[in-house]
Amino acid sequence: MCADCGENKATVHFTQIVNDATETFHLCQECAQKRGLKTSPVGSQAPLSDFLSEMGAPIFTKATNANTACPRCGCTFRQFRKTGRLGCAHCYATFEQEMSALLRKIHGSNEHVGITEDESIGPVDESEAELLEMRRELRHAVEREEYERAAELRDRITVLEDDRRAARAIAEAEGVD
Amino acid sequence: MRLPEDDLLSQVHGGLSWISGEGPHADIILSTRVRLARNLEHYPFRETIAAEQQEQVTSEVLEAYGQAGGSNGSAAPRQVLRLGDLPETDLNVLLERHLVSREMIRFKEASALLVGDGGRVALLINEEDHLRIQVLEAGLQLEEAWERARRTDEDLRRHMRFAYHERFGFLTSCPTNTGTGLRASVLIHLPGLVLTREIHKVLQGLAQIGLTFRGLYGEGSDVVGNYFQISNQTTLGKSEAELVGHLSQITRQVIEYEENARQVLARDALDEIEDKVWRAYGLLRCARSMSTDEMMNLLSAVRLGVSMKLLPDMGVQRLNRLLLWTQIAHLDKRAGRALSKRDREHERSKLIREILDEADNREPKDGR
Repeated sequence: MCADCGENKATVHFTQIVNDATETFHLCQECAQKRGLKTSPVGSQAPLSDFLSEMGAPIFTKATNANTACPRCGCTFRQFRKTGRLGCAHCYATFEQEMSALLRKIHGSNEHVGITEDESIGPVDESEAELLEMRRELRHAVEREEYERAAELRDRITVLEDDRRAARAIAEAEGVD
Repeated sequence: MRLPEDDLLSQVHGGLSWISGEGPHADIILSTRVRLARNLEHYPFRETIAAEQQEQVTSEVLEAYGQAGGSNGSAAPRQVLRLGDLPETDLNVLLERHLVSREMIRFKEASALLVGDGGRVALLINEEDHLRIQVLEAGLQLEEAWERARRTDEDLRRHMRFAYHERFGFLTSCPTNTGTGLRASVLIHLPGLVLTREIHKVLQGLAQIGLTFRGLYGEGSDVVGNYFQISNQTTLGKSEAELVGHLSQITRQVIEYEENARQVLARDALDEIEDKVWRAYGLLRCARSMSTDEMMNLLSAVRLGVSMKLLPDMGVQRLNRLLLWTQIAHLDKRAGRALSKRDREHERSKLIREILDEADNREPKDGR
């Protein structure tokens, strides 16, 4: 039975996943459309550039504007919006907040949980190992719905990530990689 | 397995293991594909990369694969093709085998293809991303394909670093591939669901659970001959194993729907179906000229007829060969020249008759 109208048979089963929290709805076709769910597969085939322009302005934060260029490759966010392709890996850092929001829109999540760059490749440095462990803990905390613990872990991860980024920037500046 | 026609195509061999039809559910699932999108650290993406950097990317990938060889079947023959050196027909043969993308052909000067591990693993170099690791398997073998791709990726990562972000995962030129960079797909034949008009419900259902579908030849291609490619839509926020497992589970469900639809057809419309598949068989047997579209549709009916045991069992391998060998570039390659449409349609009908004759006259030893 449809959860919204309680009258028609529920034919649309919709699970919303934002990061690791899931919520499932059972709706009839009509109510699903009322909620703005696209039940036609055609909608999901639209090219990314349409998707980007559909999203309009709100994606920009105060930190960047459309003309901010990536220091590595010179690609601006405006260019990216036009082509749907980024200029280089560093663009993800340059437009981190925007990409974070965009990735969440596209994938329903902005946290990678798959294989990491160093997985099964032998020894990793200490801070990295710690980071991996904390990410694992974070996933478990979210699974067990221990949100306070998760928030605490997330903050610690952010600090550690920033430290590592800073360390890497220094190493790069010195020409050591 | 070496196929007689393939001698003609030895220059571009590989990527054909699926043709054997030896995987699970091979009558309904033609092939399984898993690909991982990767970019090399320190090189700009395709939008901004320079030609000489693309050369460096190619050599770095080939070198890393060579060094990694030990653990991923170095004994198996491998072949490196520079797309810029290949004639157009060969490029299209590779396209028809799903070994290169249209995108790579468009930028062929910089693109290279490495086929290794007995034709199962392909490295597509300087595609939209610097590297796409692609594994093709026969029938439904998602977990196996993923395992092979994972091992190849891991071996490469021992010798090179890929662009990676602590939170977003593996970084790609287009954000729709970011994270795992994994796209898993199955090429599935669904004539039963099309005939019973249930297909739209199934396809709509797929869209609601994070899967997407396309035609036989990828993005933007038409659905011809009732072949559909089903794949995961998102690449971030779920592990590779989850993405692959989900697709595997749903594919099994779709196979079940398809089998149910076929049972309904056999129960309610057996005469009509029998007539349809025998007519298709008759046309393929006797016609003296055949367009691609007509062939695809007739072959779909014959595949259905064989699978429902209404037609003589000619073996999945023959059905797969009929499908691939009769594509435009394959016919041109076989003839050694670009055929006119009229000549090609003639050649196509001739080749179809040859393969079907061979099915009739096969030796009992053949086992098919």
